[in-house]
Amino acid sequence: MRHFLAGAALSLCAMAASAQFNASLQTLLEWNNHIEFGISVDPETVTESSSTGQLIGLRSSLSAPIEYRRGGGRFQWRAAFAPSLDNYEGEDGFLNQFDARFFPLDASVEFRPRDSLPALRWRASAHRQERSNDLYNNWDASAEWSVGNLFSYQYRRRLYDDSVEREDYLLISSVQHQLQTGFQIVTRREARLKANYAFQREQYGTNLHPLLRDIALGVEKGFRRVDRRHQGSLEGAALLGRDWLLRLSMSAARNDSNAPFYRFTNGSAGATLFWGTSASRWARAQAVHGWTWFADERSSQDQRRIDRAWQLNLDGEWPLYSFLSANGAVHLRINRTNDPREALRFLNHTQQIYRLALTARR
Amino acid sequence: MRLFGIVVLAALIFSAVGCGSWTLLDDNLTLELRSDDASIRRSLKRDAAGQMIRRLEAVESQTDESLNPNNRAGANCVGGVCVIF
Repeated sequence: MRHFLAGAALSLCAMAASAQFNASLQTLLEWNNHIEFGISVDPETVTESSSTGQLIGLRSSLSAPIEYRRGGGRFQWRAAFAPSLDNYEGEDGFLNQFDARFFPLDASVEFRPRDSLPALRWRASAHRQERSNDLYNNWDASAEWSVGNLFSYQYRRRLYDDSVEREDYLLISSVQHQLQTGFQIVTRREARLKANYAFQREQYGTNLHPLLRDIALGVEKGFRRVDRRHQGSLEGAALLGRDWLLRLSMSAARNDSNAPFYRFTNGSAGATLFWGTSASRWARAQAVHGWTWFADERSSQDQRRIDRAWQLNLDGEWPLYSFLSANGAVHLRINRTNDPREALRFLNHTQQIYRLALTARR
Repeated sequence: MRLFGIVVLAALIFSAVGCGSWTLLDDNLTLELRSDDASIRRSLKRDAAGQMIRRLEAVESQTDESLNPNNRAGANCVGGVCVIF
């Protein structure tokens, strides 16, 4: 006990000496040719115009994250607050409803009982999202407990301000529990293989709109959707030269639901090429192909529905001055479904995003 | 999941037959496969591969939420794929 108290006292002294405060300011400008926030605002359901292919617009954003870290020795803790503002322009003012304010607050504590043991971590977060259209206002809170990267449990609660009937589960409150575990294999100095598995249980609210209840699910009023998900992933990383890293990854997930419409399996395979010499001097190229197989035959009249997505991401950061850096990103995503129904035609789209940002750090 | 199970099984077999040993590296449960370099764990802590992986993970933790500004991640999404009606 005396040793523990002495160790704790030494840790507190080290903490006092190793406090760190980080602050930054970021402004960005982004062009996006496929803006959506759930089916409730899909162009074809909101504007009722089949000629409106995709919502196209500009997003400008300003964020000011601050972070305080204190630690050293066996205890460490961190608190972060990253308020930001989003402003949308386009579609003759229709996009103004997405103008947003975000207030994410995160905190974590870490304790490492011995050098040879994994750290015990507790994390908590509360994120508030407010948009001009009150429909989207919600709290997203989570708490997590983990033993190193060996095991973790996470509780997540998404809570919308009201319980108005919604046409999309994305806009309905939910409670999620997640258990995760993983390990890695080291083959030689330059390569590692990481394997992860996670189980999730998520339960949704009952305020589903009759449109989705009748057409997609065929369930009674008051139905509560409960999903159980198994997710696995494998990642292999190898160094190519001093500053280059190649990572190949694949993942698979199965969603079991009490609503047959939401029983599906998805998989993805991707490659990432990363170059980096410091925190503000890096570049990344990423290509991912994803598939979703739906189990419910009612999702299509004569064949099982399969959605596919090809995604290409290019982004990077470059320092302009010691305190200022520039970020750039290009994202391309091609979505296709084999479901021929007119109502799902909007799933066949190509999304392009171009982004420029400036970040000032202290 | 099947693939994850196969990898776990292979890892257990490797360690059972003495081709590798379990250890803790950067807070990860790690299976070290036999190598000529006996001090592979120490060298990994210093090596560039570990540093680069951590650098990439730091970039991902800062940027991945903004990869899709439509903010669909969450309620209806599994493994990065979002299912819509």
